[in-house]
Amino acid sequence: MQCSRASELMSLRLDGLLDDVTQIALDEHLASCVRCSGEWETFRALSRLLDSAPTATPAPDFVGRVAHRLAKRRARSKARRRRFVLLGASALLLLATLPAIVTLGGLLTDLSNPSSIEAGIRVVTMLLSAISSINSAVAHLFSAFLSTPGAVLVPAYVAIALMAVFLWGYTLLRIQTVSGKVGAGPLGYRVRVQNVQEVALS
Amino acid sequence: MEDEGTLVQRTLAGDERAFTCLVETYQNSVYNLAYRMLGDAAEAEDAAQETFLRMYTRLHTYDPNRKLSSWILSIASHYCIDRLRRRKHGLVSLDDVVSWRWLPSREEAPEERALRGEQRDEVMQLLQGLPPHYRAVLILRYWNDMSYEEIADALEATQGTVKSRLHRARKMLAQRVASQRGRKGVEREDRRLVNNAVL
Repeated sequence: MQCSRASELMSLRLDGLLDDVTQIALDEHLASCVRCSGEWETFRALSRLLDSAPTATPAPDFVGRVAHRLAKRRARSKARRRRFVLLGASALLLLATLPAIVTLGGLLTDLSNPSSIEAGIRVVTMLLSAISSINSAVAHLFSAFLSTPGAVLVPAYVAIALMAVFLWGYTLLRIQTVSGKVGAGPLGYRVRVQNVQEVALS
Repeated sequence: MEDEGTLVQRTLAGDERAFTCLVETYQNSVYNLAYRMLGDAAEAEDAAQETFLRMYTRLHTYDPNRKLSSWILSIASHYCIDRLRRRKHGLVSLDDVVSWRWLPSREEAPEERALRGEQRDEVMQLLQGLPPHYRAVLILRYWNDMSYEEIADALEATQGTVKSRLHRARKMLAQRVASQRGRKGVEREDRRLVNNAVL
């Protein structure tokens, strides 16, 4: 029997997987090979050491900690779903508003056509009445926008809308961070803090 | 006590007490596997918790024909191997960073503590010197008393692979022990020579 084969059989023997015939063949080899019999002794000693090593057990109330973490994760995933819904709604709102903004910009830039100007003013008036709760400062700002050329006005509107959506998303992320007591920033970094106790070997 | 199949069904139906029962049943084997794999109590706690969370979220994929313990230990060992791989490549995510506080262990006589500590250190040192896949088969074999077939099921490997990994793991450990013995022998010889020279 070759030593490499004997070594494999030793491993199987430790696990009680050798039949009688193979076991006898292995014993004969071990009796005649000093190197293999030395390895066999080390295998057995290692096996005894591993067999006698205790099972590590978690600190008390492990179940409670798992339940707590599960509840936290559920809350987090629920909040994440809500956040995606709100962000999706924001995007849809923006998409729905864009054509209106572009139309408005187009009307206002076509100054050569008096009916366009009238239509533009009508739209502005309607908008102003719809947002009656906005104070006069915003109204002044809006008037200032009217005096701005359309080529500047439309991109400015789009930029403001995008900024508003970004700020909204960012605020939602921050709210989530505080409510979940999970350090989460807009870049996705997370730091979880938990109590972990020392292993108590049985 | 209810059988595992019922507990799984109840957990799937949203019964948290059933899930708690499953955690209670398997907490020691999962924690022990994580501790022996990772070699650190705080990391083991975190990994064991994560294993049960994964078990909970993936329970609908569990095949009742499979042994539940093999399935849970499969989740645990894969998670630990993955974690060790990330650790090796320095890719420890902030999710893996854990803080811990040490609690005093139960009272033990100093000699008992020293002996147990020595044995624990020796076992842990030996295990930590093995590649993760080899470590996993040894742990499942010795601490979970699993057969080759069960280990193969847990690690999603063939029985031939398990047999070969177990053999290589033992061989590596034997070589390590032999080299340690050799080193200790040299150190003892050095000390003897120094003592003789002094005398």
